[in-house]
Amino acid sequence: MKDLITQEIGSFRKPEYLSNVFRKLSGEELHQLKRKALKETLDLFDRTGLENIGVGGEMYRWEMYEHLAAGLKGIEFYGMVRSFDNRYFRKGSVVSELKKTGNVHIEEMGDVMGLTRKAIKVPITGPYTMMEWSFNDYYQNREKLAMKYAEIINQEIRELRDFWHSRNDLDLEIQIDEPALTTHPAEMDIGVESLNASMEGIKGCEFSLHVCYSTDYRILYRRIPDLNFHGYNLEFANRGIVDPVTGKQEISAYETVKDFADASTDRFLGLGVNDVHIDYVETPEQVADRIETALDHIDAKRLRINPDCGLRTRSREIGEKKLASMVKGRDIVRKRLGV
Amino acid sequence: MTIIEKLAYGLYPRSEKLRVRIGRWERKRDTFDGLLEEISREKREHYISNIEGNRIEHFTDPLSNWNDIFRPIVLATDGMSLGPLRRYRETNTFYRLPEIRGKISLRDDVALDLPLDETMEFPMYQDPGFGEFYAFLPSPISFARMCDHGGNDTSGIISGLLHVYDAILEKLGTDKLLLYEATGYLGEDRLSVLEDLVQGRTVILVSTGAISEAAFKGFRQEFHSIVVPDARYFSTAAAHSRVPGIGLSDAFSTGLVSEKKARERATGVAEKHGVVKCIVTHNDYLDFLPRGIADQKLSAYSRER
Repeated sequence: MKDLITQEIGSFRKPEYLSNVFRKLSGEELHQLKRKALKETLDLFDRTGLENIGVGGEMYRWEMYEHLAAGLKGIEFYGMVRSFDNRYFRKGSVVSELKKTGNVHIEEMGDVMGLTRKAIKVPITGPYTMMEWSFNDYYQNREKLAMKYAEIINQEIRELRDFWHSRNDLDLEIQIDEPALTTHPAEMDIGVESLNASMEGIKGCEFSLHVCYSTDYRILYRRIPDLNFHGYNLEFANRGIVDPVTGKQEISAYETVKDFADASTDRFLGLGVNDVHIDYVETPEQVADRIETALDHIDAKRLRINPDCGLRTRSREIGEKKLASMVKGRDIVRKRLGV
Repeated sequence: MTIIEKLAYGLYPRSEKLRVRIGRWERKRDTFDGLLEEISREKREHYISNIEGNRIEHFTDPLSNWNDIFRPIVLATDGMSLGPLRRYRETNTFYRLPEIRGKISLRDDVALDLPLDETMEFPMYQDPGFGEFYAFLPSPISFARMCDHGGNDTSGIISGLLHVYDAILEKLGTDKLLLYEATGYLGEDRLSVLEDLVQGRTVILVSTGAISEAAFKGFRQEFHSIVVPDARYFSTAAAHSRVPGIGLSDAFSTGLVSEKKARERATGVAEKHGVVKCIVTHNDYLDFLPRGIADQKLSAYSRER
């Protein structure tokens, strides 16, 4: 693999013709619209020069929690629950033993594989976040619920891996999304144990972990030796080291790549270079500067380049500009490095 | 025979209709007048109707325009601003971090009663005119713990908030207050800092975490009620309030306890501690739940009297 590969992180804004009917349609009628949106998004990604296209912006998923939860027996949905401000999500209640009813990712991955020969990376919501975002009305405690989710995710990944290897020799890239992982530092043991259980015994995959909205990545870095991931895709553009009392950023976020490099000498880092919470489009020079700051601390062979998080928070137009600028910024660095 | 009274407090889940309506208004696709009408209608026809129907003696406003427990206070106060999202509870829930930026005082132009202005920023307290209606405010102790101090010391922030709360209650013309403690009391916390706020008022203190005798050191007032989340703290509540209370209904679980069982638990706790009157409620405000489940929780203690 070339140095400084650019990669998508996950979600991308859906076209309105899809988002407006996503919850209203089902079956083949909805599938055709998803496929159309996927094709258009892959074309958009092509225009930006992006190398790893993920699963084409998650056009097949409404929301990261519900996508997996809705495919499980044992979860009831009683209504929307507030996350913040006027933003709500369908939070499921675990009311009986969780069981898989099928594979919720395979249709999406199969369609992506049918439409592109580019590298893909399948994001799957992780066990700790699934536990954290569920009402637990059945399992004895949070750890037991997280471990049950891990068992389900492990099976889900095995099925994806088998499908992938029926057509490919390369390892399948799986990105486990754990936005909630570091939010309760006292529960990091549950996070580590359930994440490792999600991957346990699975060959033929490259595993990465995506963690965002952590107030302090050092909580994660300390546990890297215990985690069995090949790499970490993290946000840097909208963060620094945050003082836990004042919430203030003390030093440049990109200088903290040193902490990652110190914690791990062999795992790769997916460096977030675009802030997904603002419309401002980072210039290629700014992106290049961010990458080069990171390269002061980590070898280019261990560095991949991505937005902080999924770009669904921005319009498709802004998202495209951000990705194109990211690729151009990376090209500047490659040219300077002569790679 | 133990007398059981009921309390409903804090942010109540918005209906799907209201949530969509607020979303449309935020995107400038709906008028403010329409939204205001919907908030009032929903409160009157749903929440207040449930309070009456379930014969709940003590209650606050459902706070349908509050996005979190701090935001309206921050926006109504000089010397503060809204910061980034901060995580809250063992749920996928966030609040906007209050950032202290100077001397705290209630803005001169704040109108706390209806009509709500177009910024949605004011506490919308509306006394329905029956029962025991309380103004809801986050305790200054939790507020100081959960905000960005901006270099200001804790005692100064609490002192500033006490002045703001005095002004709010004066404007509202009420002496009935429900203070919501979002965190438990740590070793150094002293309720004596709330002395002036409690004095001369009917105050229910809802503690969602641990509370011990140490927190009352130097505190000379008496709360009307102290509501605790766990029977372990009930004796403390009974020692420092006229009517101790307990949060028996779980605001973080969609599981429902039968009404009979709920009342047995409440009377059991009260009788064990020798109190003749007890308040029962939920162990946190109900906004962490889907609306339909919150409705069922609200009525859980109400039918068998």
